[in-house]
Amino acid sequence: MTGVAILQATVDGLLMGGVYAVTAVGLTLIFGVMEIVNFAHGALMMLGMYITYWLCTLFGINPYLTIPISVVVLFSIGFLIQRYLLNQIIKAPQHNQLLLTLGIMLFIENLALFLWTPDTRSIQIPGLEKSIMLGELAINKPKLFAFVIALVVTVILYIILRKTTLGRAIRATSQEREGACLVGIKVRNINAVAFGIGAACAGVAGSIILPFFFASPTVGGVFLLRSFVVAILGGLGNFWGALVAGLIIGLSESLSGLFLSGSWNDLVIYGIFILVLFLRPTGLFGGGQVSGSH
Amino acid sequence: MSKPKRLGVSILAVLLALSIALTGCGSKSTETKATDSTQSTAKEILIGSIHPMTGSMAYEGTAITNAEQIAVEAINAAGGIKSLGGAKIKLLVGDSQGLPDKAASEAQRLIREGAVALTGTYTSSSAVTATQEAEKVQVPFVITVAATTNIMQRGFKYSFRIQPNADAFCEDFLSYMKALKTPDIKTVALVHENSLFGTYFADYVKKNIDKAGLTVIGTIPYAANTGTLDSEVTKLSGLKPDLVVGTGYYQDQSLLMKTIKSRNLKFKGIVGIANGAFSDPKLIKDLGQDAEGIMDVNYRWNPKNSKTDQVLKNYQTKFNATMSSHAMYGYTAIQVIADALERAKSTDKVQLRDALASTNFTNHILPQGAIKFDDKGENINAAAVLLQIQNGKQVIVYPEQFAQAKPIFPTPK
Amino acid sequence: MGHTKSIFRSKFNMLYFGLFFGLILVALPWGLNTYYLNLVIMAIFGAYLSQCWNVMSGYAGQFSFGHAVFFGLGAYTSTVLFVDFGVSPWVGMIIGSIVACLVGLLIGYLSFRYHLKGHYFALATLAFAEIFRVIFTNWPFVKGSMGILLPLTGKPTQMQFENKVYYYYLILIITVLLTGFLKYISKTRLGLYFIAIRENEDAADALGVDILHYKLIALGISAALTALAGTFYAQYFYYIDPHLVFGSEVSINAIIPAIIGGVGTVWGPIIGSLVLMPISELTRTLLADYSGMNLMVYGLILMIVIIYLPEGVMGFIQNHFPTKKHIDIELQTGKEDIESETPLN
Repeated sequence: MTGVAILQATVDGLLMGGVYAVTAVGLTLIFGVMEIVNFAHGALMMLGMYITYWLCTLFGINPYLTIPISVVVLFSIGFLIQRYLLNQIIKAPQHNQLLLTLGIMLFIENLALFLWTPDTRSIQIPGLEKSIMLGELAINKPKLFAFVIALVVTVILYIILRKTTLGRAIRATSQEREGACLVGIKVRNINAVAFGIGAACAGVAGSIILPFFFASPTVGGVFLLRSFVVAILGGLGNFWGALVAGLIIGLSESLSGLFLSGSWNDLVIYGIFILVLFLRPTGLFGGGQVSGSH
Repeated sequence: MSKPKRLGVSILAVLLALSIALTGCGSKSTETKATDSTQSTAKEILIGSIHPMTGSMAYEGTAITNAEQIAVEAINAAGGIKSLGGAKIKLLVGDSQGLPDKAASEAQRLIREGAVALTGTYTSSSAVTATQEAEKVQVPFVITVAATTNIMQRGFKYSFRIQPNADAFCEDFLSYMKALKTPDIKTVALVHENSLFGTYFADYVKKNIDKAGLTVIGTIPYAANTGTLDSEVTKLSGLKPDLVVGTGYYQDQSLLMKTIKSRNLKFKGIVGIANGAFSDPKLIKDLGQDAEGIMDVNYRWNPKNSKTDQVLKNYQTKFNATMSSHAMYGYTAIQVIADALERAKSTDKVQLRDALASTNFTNHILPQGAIKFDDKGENINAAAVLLQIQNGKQVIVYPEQFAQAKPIFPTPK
Repeated sequence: MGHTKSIFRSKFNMLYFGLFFGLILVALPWGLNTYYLNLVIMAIFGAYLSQCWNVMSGYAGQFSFGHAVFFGLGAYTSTVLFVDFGVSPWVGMIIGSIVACLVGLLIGYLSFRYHLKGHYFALATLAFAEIFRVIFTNWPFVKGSMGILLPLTGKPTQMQFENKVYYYYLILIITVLLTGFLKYISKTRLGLYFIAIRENEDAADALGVDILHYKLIALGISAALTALAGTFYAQYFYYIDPHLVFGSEVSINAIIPAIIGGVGTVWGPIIGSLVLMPISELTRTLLADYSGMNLMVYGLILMIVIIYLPEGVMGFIQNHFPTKKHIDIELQTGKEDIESETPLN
């Protein structure tokens, strides 16, 4: 393995890590606030992809400019899902919530299949196909943009949650639901907003992944498990944790892909996952909740 | 017994009965009634199709079923099965969801609904189970797409396959490479998806690579459902092979190409074997100019056959898309069954099977001689061709008798 | 229970019902067309798989999202022993159970010792299942991703039956045995411990119940029984590969019937499977022309059941026909817990 190869793998891993971070950020927010493991996360990301695809293909809009639209649409969808579906079973055993999101995932994926056919869709943006070459090192442009946007999203989320009233309300609700209720926070709406934000993050993830990948009804599954690993590694509820964890996972995947073969690098990822679950379930950086029950 | 227990048990009993009744109603309401498949109704002959219509392989499954539909319409328009009084064919569409147990279930359901023959299944694992069911009740099964060799090595009498099996594919690849390579092409790197499909092809080629006068300097398997192939391509660029040989599905192999092209890596040739992406016209849309020169040993229709254009046009008109090579086998499977029905002059299972076994069909659009089955049910003359993307289109470049253009090989600097 | 008259009556009822029902079950397969027979077999198979999951996850409350690992181990153990070493699957089945049980105990010991609960435990089981799937995909000894094709011998001594009817009896018998076993356990101390652990682990611990010990028992039993289902699958379809037997679909299929029928009840998984089978068949066959619609409906039904019947069908029944709880030791689904807020988090 030459030095260039390792360097290349490192760069690839970091860039991909940014992508994983973006997919995990929404997940970690939802879990942090509501302790819901959202299996529909991948499907929501898929919707973001299709929004970008259609806007780009039908109206020629630059995919990165479709991000705000993706955010609005996915936020609404997420809000509605929480408010009218998940909220019904907020007091039910955890596994029911997990399964409801599974049912939602099934529904959304197959709705997409029905509406848009199983065809894989991709977009070509002139200028983005070739990587930036630094000597022999190739830096993939869409992934670079995804990385930058991942950072931006994380910062924005941080600001929202730490500096705004809404953010305080969300944090209050996640820590002490009854207390929040008592001080006049409309818990139901807050939960819906938080879920909406999480869904919006998934939408952004979809929009920035499409330029270097494909959209298809089942594409969510490709990233879902990685997202979980990243979210837990970073500590459920911890955004910066998700960012760093994303980079770690991206790097691990890339480097083990270089030195090992086949899907052994999957083993590395899952191995990390298990180790974290056993040894530091609150995540590498803490801030995650440990208890399994609400 | 306490009330809830009694209630529970009664519910169970009712449910058991209801389950069976409801499912019966469900399947009855979709199709015409029929007794066991020995007799279809005089005016209508039912043929079943089992492909993934939902799930991740729905794209290809739907394409094949579409092509079968076109074949059915063409045959009916020409007068149906004349030896059976002009009986029309009707296609019963089943959905395997890409799962072998569902494929088996669909096989049984379609047989129950009166299918005299079945076609399918796109994935090899589904083909294994579906053909098993058909064999048990002696219903002829004509495989549309399913490549692994072992499917036809179980001594089944009622299974037939038209497409070239995996071994034949690899042999074609090796002989074509041997014929076309120039002296400066010596090394090969195999990049394949790591399930049954890709692994089988890669293993076979690796074992027999001497036949092509080449050497394999690296094998790079990957999981098809991956989000990135960066590391694999990095390995590839480190190996610096003359040829990159790829086997996989559309999503992963097109991602592979995208990644290779984004890094401006150049090889003397990129050749696929039964590649789900390289022979798909969508690849040209997805890669644009970067798709030029990519080759694939794959099935394809015969461009020198006058009937081919009509079939392609029918498909284009009805489904607003270009017919894929996979789909072509759907079309051909129906043709072969119809031909057998004509010769058998009956829908009786055994007679139909015998007619299929003695098929000598030339009215097809495949790049081969007559379709004839050997004692294992394999198409003796099945052949793949070498395609290449030139000027934004996939054209056959070898063997010469079907070639539409000359191969550009190796890739010019 | 109560006075003698009603005991006599309930025993008589039970016998009458049992015989009647039993007769139907025994005679059923002979009257069925092979397509329906297959559906019934798959329905009972689904019930069995879910019941195995129920032992550990519904009953003892340790929610597993990776039951495929036990299923796959059972399938591969018996199959490899059969295909490569000529060992009869009847024997291989037992060995597979033992292997799955040991692996389960290992997973359980590690997880419980590190106090994994709820979501975290579920995700850990998912990860383990995936790990095994990847290992088996890349392991030449088990033919990796190529899978294993079982030779068709048709010999009952090798668990192969020409007539599907015998598969029906096989799966029916083990399902009945398992259900009976579960019913029996629910009346013993073991069952009580399971329920106690499920309802409030900390309280049970404080009362001196050896949590780790009993969780492992539940896991071990569940794993061993699930492995049998794996062997059955291999012997019924004659083909296995890592994705088929270690994939997440298996784990999900183990869970859903129990959810629909009622997690933690004895009859729940069975009812759930019997309800789901016609639904999934119907949605697939009726809606075949509309790509994706069948699974959309399926997902919709799942959502509706979870929202409006959170305790499944059995839970619904038990809520509307309550029994004298302090006398009847039948499993409850912890209904009180959902409605009242527990002060501790």
